[in-house]
Amino acid sequence: MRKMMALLSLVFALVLVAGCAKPPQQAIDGANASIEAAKQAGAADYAPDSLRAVDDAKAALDAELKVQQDKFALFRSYKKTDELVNDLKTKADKAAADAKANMEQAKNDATAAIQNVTTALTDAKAALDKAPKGKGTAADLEAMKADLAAAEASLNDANAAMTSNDFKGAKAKAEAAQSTIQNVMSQIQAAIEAKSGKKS
Amino acid sequence: MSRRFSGLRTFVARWRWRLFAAVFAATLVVCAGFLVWPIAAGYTEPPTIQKSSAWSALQDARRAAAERWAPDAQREAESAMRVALSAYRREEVRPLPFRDFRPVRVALGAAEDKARRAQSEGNRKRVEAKVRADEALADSEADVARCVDVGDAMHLGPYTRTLLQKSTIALREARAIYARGDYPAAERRAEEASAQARAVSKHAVDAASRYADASLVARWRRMIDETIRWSRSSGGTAIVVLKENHRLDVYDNGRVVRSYRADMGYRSVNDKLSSGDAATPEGRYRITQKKAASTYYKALALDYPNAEDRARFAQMKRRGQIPRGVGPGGLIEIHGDGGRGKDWTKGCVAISNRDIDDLYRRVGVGTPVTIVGGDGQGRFARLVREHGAALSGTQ
Repeated sequence: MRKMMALLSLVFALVLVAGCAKPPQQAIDGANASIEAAKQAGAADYAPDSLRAVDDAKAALDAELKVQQDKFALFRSYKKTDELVNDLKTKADKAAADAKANMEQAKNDATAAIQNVTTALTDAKAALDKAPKGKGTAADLEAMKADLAAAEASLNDANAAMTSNDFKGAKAKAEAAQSTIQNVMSQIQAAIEAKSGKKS
Repeated sequence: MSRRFSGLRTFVARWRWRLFAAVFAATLVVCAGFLVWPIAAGYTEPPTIQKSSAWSALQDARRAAAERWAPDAQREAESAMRVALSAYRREEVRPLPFRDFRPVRVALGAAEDKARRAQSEGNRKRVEAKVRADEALADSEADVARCVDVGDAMHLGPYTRTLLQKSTIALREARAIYARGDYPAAERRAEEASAQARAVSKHAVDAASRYADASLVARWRRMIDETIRWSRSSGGTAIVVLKENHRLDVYDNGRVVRSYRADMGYRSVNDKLSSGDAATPEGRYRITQKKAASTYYKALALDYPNAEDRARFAQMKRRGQIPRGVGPGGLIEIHGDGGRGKDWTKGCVAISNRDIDDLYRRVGVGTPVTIVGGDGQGRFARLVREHGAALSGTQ
C-alpha cells in the first residue's frame, strides 16, 4: 500500500511538472526586444535580407508556440521553442549589427562624397576668384559663378539629406554636383593656360 | 419458442470466450485498419518537396523585390506561407497515425501560388516602373539637351544659368537613382530636371522671340536693303552687321566684298537700351573715329547713341522702364580681339585682328554701319522655331 502511494505521488508530481510547462516568456521578450532594436537600427533599409531572416524565424517561433498552446496542457513541450527563440534572437542581433554596419558604411560614403565636393567647390571658388580677368571674360565668369551656385545648391540639398539620414540620396546629390564643379575647374584651367600661352 | 432461446443460451454459454475473442479480434483489426490506413495512404507523409517548392517560390519573390513592387500580393504570400508552415508543424508533432498532411499540402500549394503571383506581379510592376523611368529620363535628356543648346546659343542671366545647371545636376542624379533600381524616384527626379530645363528653354525662347517676329525681321531686311541700295547708288562702302548670324558684311558698290565672323555683346539677344546691359545696339550708325591703337587691337568707333537711340531712351526713362542714374551707354565700337566663336563683348562688335586689319583699310570716318538683329535665319530664330515648337509640344 505504501509503495502504491509513493508511486501515485511520483506520477502526480510528474504530471504536475509536465502540466506546468510554460513558454520561455523571458527569452521571447528578449528576442522581441532584439527585433525592435534591429528595426530601430534601420534594418528595413540597410539590412533587408537579415530582417527577412528575422521575420522567418519569428514566424517559425509563432507557429511552434501555437502548436504547443493547442496541445493538451499535459503534453506541451517547449524544448524546440527554446531553440527557436535562441535562433530568433541571434538573427535579430545579426540584423541590428548588419544594419548598423551598412548604415555606417552608407554614412561614410555620403560623408566622403560631400567632403570631396565641398573641397572641390571651395577650390573652384578660389580658382574663380583668381581666374584671369580681362577682355571679355565677364560673361564667362558670370556663367561659371552661376554654375557653381547650382553645384552649391545641390551640395546644400546633400547636406539636408544627410541630416534626415538619407545617406544614399545625399551621396547621389553630392556626386551629381561634382562634375559641374569639375567642368568649371576645366574652364578656369583652360583660361589660365590660354593666358599663359599668350604671354609666352 | 422457449426451446429456441434455450438453444441460443446454450450456444452462447458454450462459445462465450470464442465469441468474445472474435469480437475483440475484429475490433483490433478495425482499429488497426483505422490507424494504419492513413500511413498506408500516405496522409502522414510530410510534404517536404511541396514545402521546399513553396519556400523556393517565396524566396524567388523576395529576390525579385516583390515586397517593394507588389507589396499586397507579397504580404498575402508571406501570410499564406506562415499559415502553411504553422499547419505543417502542427501535424509534425502529432503521433504518427493521427497526422494528416493533406490540408498542409493544400495550404503549401496556395502559398506557392501566391508567391509566384507576387513575383510575377512584382516583375510586371517593376518593368512598368522601369519603362516609365526610361521615358522620363529620355524626355528629360531631350529637355536638358535643348536647354544646354539654349545656353550655348545665348548668354543666360545668373538665375537662368543656375537653373540650367540645376537641371543637368538633377538629370545626373536621376541617372544615379535609376542605376540603383529606384525607378519611381528616378522618374520623379527626371521630371524635376525636365521642368527646370523647360523653364530655361521657355525663358530663352521668350527672350529670342523677337528674332522670329515677321514684322521686325521685315524691318531689318528693309534696313539691310536700304544700306545695300545706298552703297550701290553712291558707289560707297557700307557695313551691315547681323547679330544673330554673327556676321559683319562689307558692301562696296552694292556688292558684298567681305564677310567676317563677328562676336557681339553677351546679351545681344536684346536690343541695347542702357549702359551696362551688354547688348549690341540695333540701328543705323556711322564710323566716327578710326583708332589704330586700342585696348582691343584696332577699333572703329560708332556714333551710338544716335538721335533715335536717345529719343527712345528718353521715352523709356519717362515710362520708368529704365532705372534712375542709368544712361544710354556709349563707346560702341567695331574692334579686334574677336573671332572667338562666342558673344563676349559689352556691346561692341568684335572681329579677329586679321579681319580688323582688312576692314580698317576699307572704311573711313563716316562709313555707314547698319546693325540689325538678323535675317530670320540665324541661331536665335532657329532656337525659337525648334525649341518653341518642342516646348508647346511638351506643355
